[in-house]
Amino acid sequence: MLSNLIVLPWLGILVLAFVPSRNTDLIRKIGAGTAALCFVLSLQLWVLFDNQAVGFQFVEVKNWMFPVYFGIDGISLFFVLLTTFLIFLCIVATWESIQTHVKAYMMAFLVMGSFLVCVFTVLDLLFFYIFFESVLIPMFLMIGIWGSRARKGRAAYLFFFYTLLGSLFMLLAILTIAFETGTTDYQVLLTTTWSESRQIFLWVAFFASFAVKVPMVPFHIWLPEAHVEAPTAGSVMLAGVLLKLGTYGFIRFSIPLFPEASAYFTPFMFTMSIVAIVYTSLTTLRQGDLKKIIAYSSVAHMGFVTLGLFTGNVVGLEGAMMIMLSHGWVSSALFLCVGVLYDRYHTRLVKYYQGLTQAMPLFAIVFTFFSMANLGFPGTSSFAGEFMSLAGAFEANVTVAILAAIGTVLGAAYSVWLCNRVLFGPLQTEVLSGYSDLVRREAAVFAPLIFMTLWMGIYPEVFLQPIHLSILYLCA
Amino acid sequence: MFINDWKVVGPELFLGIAVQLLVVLGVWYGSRPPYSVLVRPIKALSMLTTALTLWLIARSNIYGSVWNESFSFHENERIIHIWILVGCLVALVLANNKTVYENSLFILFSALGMIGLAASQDFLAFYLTLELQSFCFYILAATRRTSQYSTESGLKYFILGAIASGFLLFGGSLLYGATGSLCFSDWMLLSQVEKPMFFALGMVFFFVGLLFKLSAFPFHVWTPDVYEGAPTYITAFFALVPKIAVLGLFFKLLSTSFYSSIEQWQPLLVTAAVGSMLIGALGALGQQRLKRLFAYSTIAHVGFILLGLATCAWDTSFFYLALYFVMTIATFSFLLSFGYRNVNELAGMGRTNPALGIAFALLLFSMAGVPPLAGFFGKYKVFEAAIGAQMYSVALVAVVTSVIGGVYYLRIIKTMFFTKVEDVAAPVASPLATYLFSLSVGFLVFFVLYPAPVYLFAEVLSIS
Repeated sequence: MLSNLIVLPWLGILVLAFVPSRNTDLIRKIGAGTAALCFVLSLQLWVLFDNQAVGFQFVEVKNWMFPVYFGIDGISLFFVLLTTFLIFLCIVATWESIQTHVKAYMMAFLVMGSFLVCVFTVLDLLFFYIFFESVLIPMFLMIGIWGSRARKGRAAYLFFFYTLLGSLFMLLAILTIAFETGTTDYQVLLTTTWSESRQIFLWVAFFASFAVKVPMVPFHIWLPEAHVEAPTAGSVMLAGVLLKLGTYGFIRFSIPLFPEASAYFTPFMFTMSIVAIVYTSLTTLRQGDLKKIIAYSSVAHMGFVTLGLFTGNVVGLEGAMMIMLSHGWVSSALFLCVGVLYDRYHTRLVKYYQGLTQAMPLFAIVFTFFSMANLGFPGTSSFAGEFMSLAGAFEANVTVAILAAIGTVLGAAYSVWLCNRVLFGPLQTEVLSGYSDLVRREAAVFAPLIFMTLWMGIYPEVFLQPIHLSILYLCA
Repeated sequence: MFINDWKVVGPELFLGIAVQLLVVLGVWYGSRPPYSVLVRPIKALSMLTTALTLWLIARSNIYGSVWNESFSFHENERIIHIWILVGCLVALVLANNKTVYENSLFILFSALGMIGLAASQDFLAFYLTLELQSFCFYILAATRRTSQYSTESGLKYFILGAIASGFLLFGGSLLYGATGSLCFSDWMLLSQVEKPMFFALGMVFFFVGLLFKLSAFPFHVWTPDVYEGAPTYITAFFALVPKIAVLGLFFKLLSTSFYSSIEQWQPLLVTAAVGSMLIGALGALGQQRLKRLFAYSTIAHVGFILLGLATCAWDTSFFYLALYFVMTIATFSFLLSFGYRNVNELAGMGRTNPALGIAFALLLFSMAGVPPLAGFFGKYKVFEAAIGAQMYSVALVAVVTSVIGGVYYLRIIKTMFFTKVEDVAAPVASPLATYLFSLSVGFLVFFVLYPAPVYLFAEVLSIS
């Protein structure tokens, strides 16, 4: 099952390699077809997933130099789904906006999809590192080749080196673990216990890598740059899946492998999360670039995730999982909205847009809907997540919960203000001339995202069921 | 007994005689114009000779030490010899020289020297074979007589090499004074009994010579100039082959003769390794010339190889060297197939020839140590060795330098893909070099799927 999901994109690439690069339409169709097939396969995982089983399911062993296990549990199940879902959506959403190097673009997407599925399914520290890093290659090329402006080189560099430097510390930690235990197998390592001082050392090394990826506040500089310069689909993948690699790392490795160090650093993580939430929400208010606004708001949302992760109770951790998923579609949808505007007018500066409601009513509805979702409006998926995360924080520490709750107010401020500036007021006809609303393909891309947001907002139980046992196991 | 010695060295004997015959052939037909008529036949014959020698070595199953224990031909040495000859074959394939036939012969002569070097068991044998290969190298570096850079490169190489040889001889004499023997195995035996003060001193001088040949810090200064000045295929040869022979010998010395003095040489080698990494990473940052850039990158790679030696993780060194070997083949076959000299000439490569551009980008990612490409596993193994030897700070430096190294590899990728150029003509590639390039990049990319043979290869080499 899992290996099919991993190998399938490579088969797609193999087929693509033999298609002449002039034939862009066929290339797009093959790419989309492969991605769709992957998505169907991953849906099958969800259907066959046993909510009542503890531990990993669909486990497979590959004999490398040592046996390497692949498997999913409640935590990784939805990340796999999110990946395949977004890869397919991205390919469809950028059907027309990418006109150069279409073949390489499709290949990069499929490679990234395969690596991301590997990251979320592999049960081996070394291979987690390998796949975690290898995602850098397609993403670096994507920002650089299909990015928009002159600063893209710098953005690609920042993205690459922040991650590389951070994760090399994780590599040293993995080496230390491998040297002392003789294995990097996750399931074996779960049964080993470390002295507290050693745990703290290892935890910090892992933190260096994950904090960059999340990103947490002092390490977030690369994110706005990379988001602004990346092509729309690149931003979607970055926000939708790549940021979750960091939080996934926390919940998969830091917390279960080093429980005492995690407890030791909980106040630290709370502080960092609150700083991230409040500081970046305030920063968001001052941004003039549509993509930067969404990028900074992503950092704020990831602050809620790290807050929930370290509450140490089931509600908080499940809330963190919910925010990660919800952020997966909400911020992706917002980036796609920006992409819709950018495809038409080739600018992302807020000051050029005004009164779009009159000319693009359908777009206005979608944009308003996702802005509301972004601020955590009840009935949307973010509400479910943020509420649970804050409830967990309240249980752990009242002061922290109150401080973090400020973030929701600020979130409302920047989201509503953004909507206000872009959608309402008189049309700026002297700057933008000629309007067209969403075309059918774009509407079709947004529809599933709206559906998911509402579904998870109204009845999150469906998503919580598979997660429940894994989280319980983690907290016990 | 004596006859048996000749049987053991049969393949080398064949190589030596064949080269002499080729020289005679060259003198016979090459003494009147047009001189260039011999270039192709001699190159083809050299390749044939190398291939035949390879075949003979691979087939030979007689092992033993010959000539009063001066040379030992055992399984390990044989593998190293095969490796050296494969390197020579690659260099001959890459050679695009059209004027002088002697270069192919010098490559063969130096191969003979390196084979002897890797097999030597005795200081005198070691020194003579080292000089045989070195003299060939000096000439090869200066082979483009009319070019200022080439003569400069040859001269620099010669003068610095001569100084290194002087140190080597001095070290050898001190070791002789301390032990009363020139034989490596005697050194091992005697150094366990008692070590006079100047045994360590001699050892240090000995290392100076070896580190010079490996182009390691602090004896790396010649590398960029020689790499820059020599014709590119000669540079490829310098980067590929001598490292194998010297590493083979270095491993033999450290693991036997000097093993009991580990307290003395370990800090020295760690310093050399860390210095090489730093110099390699920082020196390449500002380079515009591709060959200089890759010279510094070689220095950095040598640092990693030395760190493996310094931590007594012999297989790590051989493993890293094997990956370095493939990466170097890929680099130079790419450079040679297009004749690029400067980084900014690569601009627009991603547009004009996307397939090769992406392959070259993958090679650079591999050199930077980004998984899942092969280069990562080399670095991983070195980090592992450093952590295993409790050298956490050294591992940290290695990590930081490999990040800095990433900067300049990525700069090339950036130039290839991210810069907009109007219209560049698609460069014409030479087919043979391009095949070699694709083959080696394929190895680097697919290594992760089935790495066991390379690990095994390094393991076998490190068991003496």
